[in-house]
Amino acid sequence: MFKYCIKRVGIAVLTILFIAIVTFLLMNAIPGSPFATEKGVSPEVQANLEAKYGMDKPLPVQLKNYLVSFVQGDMGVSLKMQKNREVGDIITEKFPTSLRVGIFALIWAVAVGIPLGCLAAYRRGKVLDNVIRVLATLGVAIPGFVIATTLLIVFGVKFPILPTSGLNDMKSYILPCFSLGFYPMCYTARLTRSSMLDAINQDYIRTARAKGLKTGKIIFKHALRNSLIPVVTYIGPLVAYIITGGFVVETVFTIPGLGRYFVQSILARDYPIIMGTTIFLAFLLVVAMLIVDIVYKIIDPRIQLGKAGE
Amino acid sequence: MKKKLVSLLLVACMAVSLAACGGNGGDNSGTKGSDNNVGTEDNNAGSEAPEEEGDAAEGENEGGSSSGASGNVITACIASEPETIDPSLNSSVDGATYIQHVFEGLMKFQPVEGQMEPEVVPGQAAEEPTVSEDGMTWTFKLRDDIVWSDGQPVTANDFVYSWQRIVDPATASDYNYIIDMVVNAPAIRDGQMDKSELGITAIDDKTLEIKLSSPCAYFRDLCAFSSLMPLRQDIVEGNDSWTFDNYIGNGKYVVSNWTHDDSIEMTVNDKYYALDEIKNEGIIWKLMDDENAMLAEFNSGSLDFINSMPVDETARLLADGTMQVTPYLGTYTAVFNIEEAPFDDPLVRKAFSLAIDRNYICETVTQRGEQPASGWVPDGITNYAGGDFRADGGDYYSVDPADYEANCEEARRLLAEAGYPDGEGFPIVEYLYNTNDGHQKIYEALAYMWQEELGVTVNGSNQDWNVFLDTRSTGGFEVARHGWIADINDAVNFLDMWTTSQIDGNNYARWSNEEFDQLISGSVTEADAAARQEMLHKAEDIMMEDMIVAPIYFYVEPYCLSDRLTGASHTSLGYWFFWNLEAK
Repeated sequence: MFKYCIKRVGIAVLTILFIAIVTFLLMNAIPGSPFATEKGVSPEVQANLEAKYGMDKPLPVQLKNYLVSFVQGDMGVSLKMQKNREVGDIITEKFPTSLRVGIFALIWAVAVGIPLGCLAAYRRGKVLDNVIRVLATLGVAIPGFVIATTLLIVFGVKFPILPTSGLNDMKSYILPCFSLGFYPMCYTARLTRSSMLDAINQDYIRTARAKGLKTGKIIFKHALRNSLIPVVTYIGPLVAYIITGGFVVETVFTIPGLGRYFVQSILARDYPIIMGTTIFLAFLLVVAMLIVDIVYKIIDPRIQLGKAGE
Repeated sequence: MKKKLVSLLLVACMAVSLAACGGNGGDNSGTKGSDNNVGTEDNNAGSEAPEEEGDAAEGENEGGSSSGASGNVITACIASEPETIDPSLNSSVDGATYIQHVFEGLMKFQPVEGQMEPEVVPGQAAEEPTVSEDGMTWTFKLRDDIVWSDGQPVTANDFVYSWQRIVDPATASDYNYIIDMVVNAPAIRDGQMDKSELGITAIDDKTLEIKLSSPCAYFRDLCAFSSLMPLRQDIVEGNDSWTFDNYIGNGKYVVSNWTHDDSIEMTVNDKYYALDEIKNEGIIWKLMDDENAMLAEFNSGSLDFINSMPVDETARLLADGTMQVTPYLGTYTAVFNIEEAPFDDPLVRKAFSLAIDRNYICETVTQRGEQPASGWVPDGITNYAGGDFRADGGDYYSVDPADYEANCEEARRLLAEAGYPDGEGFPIVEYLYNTNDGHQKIYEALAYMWQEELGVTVNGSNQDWNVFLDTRSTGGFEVARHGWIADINDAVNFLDMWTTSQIDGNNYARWSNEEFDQLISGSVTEADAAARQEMLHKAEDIMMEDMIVAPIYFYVEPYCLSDRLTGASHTSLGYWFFWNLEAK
């Protein structure tokens, strides 16, 4: 187990390093510059800016410099989005906001999605199953910005009962968290339903039935546990994505979170922010995957971590 | 396509990190939240560079601003997070608006009762400057009662420091050319001279002398420009992040709280010398990205002011009076790359320009009340004699809807003369624009007109903002979308970009004309206003004769202001002034 953990951490560090290098090379391969504006910048100004931010050096040197200062805890400063502000500052300021919204969204997605999926499987072929399946399909098919904007118009404009921007009180969490969690909720429900149906056809369920156990107990006690593996596999990375903020939801509801920085930094060619946010997300993902592996073990004791990893 | 691929790869790289770690196979990677197609750079087809960024006063993440639009606090939204609110570094309109509220230059904008356009009056200067006979030496006396928001007096040296800073190559300011008429400024920004050689001197604490290398018609107004605000050396020097942690100004407001990506809150600076000019208690600038959300907030009453709204709503908003428009000095245009066939032929360029139904674009496509452009320099540029440059210059072609058919007739004749009767043999060309709904709709209208009237096929190609800027400035296009917003109310601001020396700068047409160059450099040193106007008109005649651009419309600024308020002021340069806003 110990050996396994060491190995996993080693792989994780290498993964992050790999992602950092690839991201660095790719972002420098895109044409455009963080210093470009509609009114062209003179070549002298461009050169001065590049020198100031160390972008006049060859790419390998820039990469090395970046990695060295990153290890020392310096992620550089924003070149465009919040000019001259420390990227580390931006991430530590924005992340807690995204985290709060993300956690609520996640809770609602999982707490509603899994029972809905079970219910659908339990009532397979009945009206309730059909209703849930239609809902879940809709939720997966409708793009996030449609949901968010519709909610904004319905609850912010037509019936102005909920705040539509900022996060000033508990009430203002409702719309963004609902929108952010809607897709994963539906996806989780679908996933739970299908793997539950799978589990229901297994021999041990038949045995349980033969023993005369109540259907509800069979579903929620025996089948659910065995059908959770795919769901957990999905939820692991989802956690990392959802707590780093949804761009659409944050934009529509004016939430000062991290999500916008993932997207806009690429559009703005704000290199240090691209690097900072990507590495941050990679780190969270690696951690999430590690936790997922441990959770597997809890759900299904037959899984042996050490061996699975080798 | 290749470029798009690379962008995609980059996004994919983030997603791949998901699969790359850990040894568990078979995940159902329902990658969430990558439906990020909401291109927010340069929203309204008009405003240029993406705007962003800012400054001081950190705030806790929430709480505080329970932004009910009520009482005498104004809640407005003019953009998302500003790129910077450092006066020397800023180049965006929203940044300039914030700066105008927190700082004050030698001159200032003063709202005028009953009109939108403010006038320029002495600000930190106690009175009108004394100008030497030859117009080359300007002496400003500063007021005695001016202090920074931390109580220190504003001195002439604060101006010297700021003006030197903007031309200092180390600052690398986008606007380092803005004071090129000041002695030695061009040499300093090129690195050939030390910044201390700049022709600005503090005679004493309250007297400032500025020497120009040529008389400058707009220098007085320029002294109110947001890049030329005084700055405190002890705060700014050596601290790149001063706007975030110690944003001290000398203007009407102070930033009391700045929650990034949420709001900038300003309260009245009680040390300001003329508090009676400020009619409200403060301004909350909401920093928002989404136009639907802005409109929803405006409709629900939690925003008092917005100036961008969803394209699909503008016609309705304009019709029911919610939205109004005010002049904005700028021209939306198509620019031809004259180095590339077939647009190396002026006849082809003229034919393309004449075949554009500008009224259709304004009335049916953009629908914000824009004016069809009959020249390159827009309506509203002063002629320094109480009149209008465009009105003096007249129309280069008729934009009367009744004349459109005749224009098209002429266009077909020109195209035939160029060797392409009815478009026969004309190659398929490409129109380049940055990815944006508004620009796309205009492209579609143009392509249709050119197809219908001239029989030529124009394909569209859109690129992400940064790539677009790069492609356009290096001549990798045939026809491209272009727009220019005035920095100063003077025709030269629209003309000097077409000089030969600008071919690698803003001269996207890559056009060169010796007589034009001479007229522009001559106009810089010409002291007589009328003679200078004549030179500029002649210069515009030359470039329009060659039709290096096909101007489409003159910008307007659309806005919605709450009924409960009165007193907004806006210069046609794009800045809003809200200190005169108050509840009715």
